[in-house]
Amino acid sequence: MADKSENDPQIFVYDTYMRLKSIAPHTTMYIGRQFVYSSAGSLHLDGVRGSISFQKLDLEFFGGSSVSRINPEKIRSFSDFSAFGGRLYYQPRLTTRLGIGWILRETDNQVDYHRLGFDITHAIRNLAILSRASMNPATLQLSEVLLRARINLSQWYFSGEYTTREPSVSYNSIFSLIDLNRYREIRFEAVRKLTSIITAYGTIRTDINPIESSWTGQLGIRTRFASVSWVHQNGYGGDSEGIRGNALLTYGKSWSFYGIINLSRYRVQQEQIDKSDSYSTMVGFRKSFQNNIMVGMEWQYLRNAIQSYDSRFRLRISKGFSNK
Amino acid sequence: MPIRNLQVFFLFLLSFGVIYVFAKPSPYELTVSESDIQFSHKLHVGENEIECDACHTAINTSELSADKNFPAMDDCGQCHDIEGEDNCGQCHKNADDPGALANPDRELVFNHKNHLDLDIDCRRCHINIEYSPRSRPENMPKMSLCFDCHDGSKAERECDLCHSDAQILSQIHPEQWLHEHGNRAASEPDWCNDCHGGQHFCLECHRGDNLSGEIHDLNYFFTHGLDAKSNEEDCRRCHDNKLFCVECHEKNQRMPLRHSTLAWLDEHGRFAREDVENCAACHESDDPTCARGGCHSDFDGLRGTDTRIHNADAPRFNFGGNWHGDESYFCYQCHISTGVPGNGFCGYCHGGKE
Repeated sequence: MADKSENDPQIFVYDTYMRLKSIAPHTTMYIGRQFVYSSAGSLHLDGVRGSISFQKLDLEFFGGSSVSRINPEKIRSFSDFSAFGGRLYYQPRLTTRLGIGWILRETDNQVDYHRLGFDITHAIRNLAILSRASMNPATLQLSEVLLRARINLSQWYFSGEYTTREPSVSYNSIFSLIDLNRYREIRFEAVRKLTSIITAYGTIRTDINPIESSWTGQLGIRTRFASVSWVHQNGYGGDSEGIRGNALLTYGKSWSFYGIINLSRYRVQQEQIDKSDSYSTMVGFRKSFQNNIMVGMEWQYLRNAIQSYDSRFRLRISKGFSNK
Repeated sequence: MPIRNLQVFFLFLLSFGVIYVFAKPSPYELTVSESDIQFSHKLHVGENEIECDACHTAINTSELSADKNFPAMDDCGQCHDIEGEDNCGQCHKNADDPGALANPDRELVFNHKNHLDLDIDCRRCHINIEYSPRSRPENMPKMSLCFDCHDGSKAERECDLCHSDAQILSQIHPEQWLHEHGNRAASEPDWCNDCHGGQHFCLECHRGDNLSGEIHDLNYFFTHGLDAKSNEEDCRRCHDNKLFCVECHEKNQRMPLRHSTLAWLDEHGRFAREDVENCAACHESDDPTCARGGCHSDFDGLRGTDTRIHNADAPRFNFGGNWHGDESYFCYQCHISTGVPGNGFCGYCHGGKE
């Protein structure tokens, strides 16, 4: 509290939009700053979004300028930072969804990110499957394929995932010339209910890279109110050993108290001789009032390679004007 | 259409070809039981304007959703001849072996009496029932409809008001939901909005400022390299490389230790091929390091004399392609456009006699 960031005070506008419901049959329009999704990507947008729902079909389309992550207080030029997209979903039955998504984002009037995505989810009894593929329409190359399956058994839960994707480089970039290798990742999770309130879980993930693969493992215990896990990573991505914990307690219908802790020793580059320490913790509470008002206070403490003592205090007051 | 990695693509197609098996719906989706009864609300309610409680005689006193609120055959008998065996087929699909309408198990806590006492019309929740020629799941209210009134202001919106099961969240949000919620949120944001009330909830995490460490650890400024290099996610789905990564890396001049080794001159090409996003995080700019004099540049204008980045026969380099005539195109970061046939880069294709 004694020190200020060089850019303080700052005002950020995250989402402020006007919703026009039933502007046409089954149609809703949103005008302003908002977060939009597509199976092919997502972005923060200053612009217009529309949605049409009709029976088992949902169509959404959006367009405008993308919001800068670094200077979100500005509304950027549409000609230099335009972003468009949409998605079409068909749900023939409760357990099946098929979708097409498209997103085009420009930076400095150059295509920065352009994807056309297809996805399907289907549930069969206690097995759920998700498949997603996206392609870069500019290069006609398959950009990403994701296959995910999860199954719930009585005391066990298993989930597996395979992803392969092209590196993301701008089409108008010197890096797009390079004959690139795809990134591939395999992830596997297992969860076991030990008692009615305690669950143990483990995740293992490997990123296959011809230089050197990296792998990450996580083992943890979770209850209804808290969890703690140990995370280990090594390989091309660097080395890291750490502990994560979080807790969330609710009191009555309007109070919640939470705490998060992250502790790790890591090395981002294999050439580094010494490892660095990273420590962060935060504790806070939130109080909800009627009419969608929420007040929250949070204290954060960080220790890292630059700051041996970094303490912050956050006060947050929010008011929601709509539930939709 | 050229598609790389055909095996992966066919594997993806195979996953689409899932054999249809009778799928068990979520226990939290209201359904209509399959039964022997065929009944048209359209005929009774829509055309003949029969009141709901004329048949659903127990509904006005029903306090539990598990109550048997479907009409009994005697209720039908008020208007229909239920004695004669010749009439069974009017209501029963299998007239030879007519079956009763099964009362489904309902986990929900719902009190019809309380709602009816507030003069809430049946059709307020059972939307369009008067147009329904047969009972369908669409006639049962969806949770989103409940939130029209149960919004926290007009009526309470706590989960345990209607759901008695303590395992609700694990059914709705299965394990690893933090990792997997994106697709569901993208395909059915209204489903999320039912409980989480709009985009402001999503932005609690997806604001992009990481002030509260919900997406990334508070020290992610220091540790993000671990995820970026292991390519856990396509960071560019949310962050654009050129400005988000490059601005910070250029400003802080953080260079990998590997770059200062003698071997890097020979090794960097291999690393670029295997992990180009790592290179682009720093070098993606209008003045990329690769194209500087002495490296991958073509300042002498002579074809084939400089260290190559690309093959000459790639389809993108067809005559008259996107790059031709557009000097903002990246080609001109290495090659110099002289505009003169037979001279420099233009001379690669255009001879001096033109």
